[in-house]
Amino acid sequence: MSKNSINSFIKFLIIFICYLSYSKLFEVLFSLVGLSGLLINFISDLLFSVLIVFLYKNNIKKDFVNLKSNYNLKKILKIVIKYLLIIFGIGIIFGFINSVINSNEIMLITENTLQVNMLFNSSLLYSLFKALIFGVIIEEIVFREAIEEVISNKKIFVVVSSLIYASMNIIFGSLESNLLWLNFLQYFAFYFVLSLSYVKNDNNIFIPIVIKFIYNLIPTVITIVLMVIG
Amino acid sequence: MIDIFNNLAVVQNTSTTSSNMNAIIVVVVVIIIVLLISTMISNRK
Repeated sequence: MSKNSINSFIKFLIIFICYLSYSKLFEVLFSLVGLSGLLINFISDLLFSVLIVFLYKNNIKKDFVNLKSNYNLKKILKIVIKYLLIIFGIGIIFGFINSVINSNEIMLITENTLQVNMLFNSSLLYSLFKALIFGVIIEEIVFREAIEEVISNKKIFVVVSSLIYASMNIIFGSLESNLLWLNFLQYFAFYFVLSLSYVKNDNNIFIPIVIKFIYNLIPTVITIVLMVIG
Repeated sequence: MIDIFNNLAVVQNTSTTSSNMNAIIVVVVVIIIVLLISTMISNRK
């Protein structure tokens, strides 16, 4: 392994450990001064976001320049629609398999989606931040841009980054669910497509960010509408 | 509503049980090993 690869690997490892532990760390730190609740979660997410944007500012700048010079609105729209259709197709297939395997309607929602929905009931603003900003921009940088720096082989990168990101969607929920592997495969398929969109478009992080933003916007709007009429 | 529109954002549940915590540690270790092997294969000349 070259020195650069070792450095990138160590950099990702530190970021990954920070990503896994910052929520708990800030929760403990703020509880020492008697503060708790969603505001603390928001502040810790915000601080982590600032750190990630600072660490990857050069990559973000480079990708933005590439987006401005090589892509126009029509081209971006075509790419986004193409990948969104594939993701919707995957969602429909897995939704159908879920409904065939399990007739209990509650179980048709993955644990992570259930937690996102619970977050909506607790705080609308924080949920919007988590689903449309943090989940889209920061997680994409951590699980794609950062891993891409470590794994230069495109095929291995697509598989490994999707595996890691899918695992993250599963491990914070109940691990005793009968549909755990099906949920894992569903997330893996989603992230596989997003990773493909990244490598097929000059490793430009803005492409999966836009696709994921629009994709997340749909369940977010549905949840808000259901809350309003509900 | 079936799970067609998943919200693709990870919600970290900080109140995880100790058995869940063990599983998280195992998954993280596996991820790190997979990443290390992938990096080595990817950078092989």
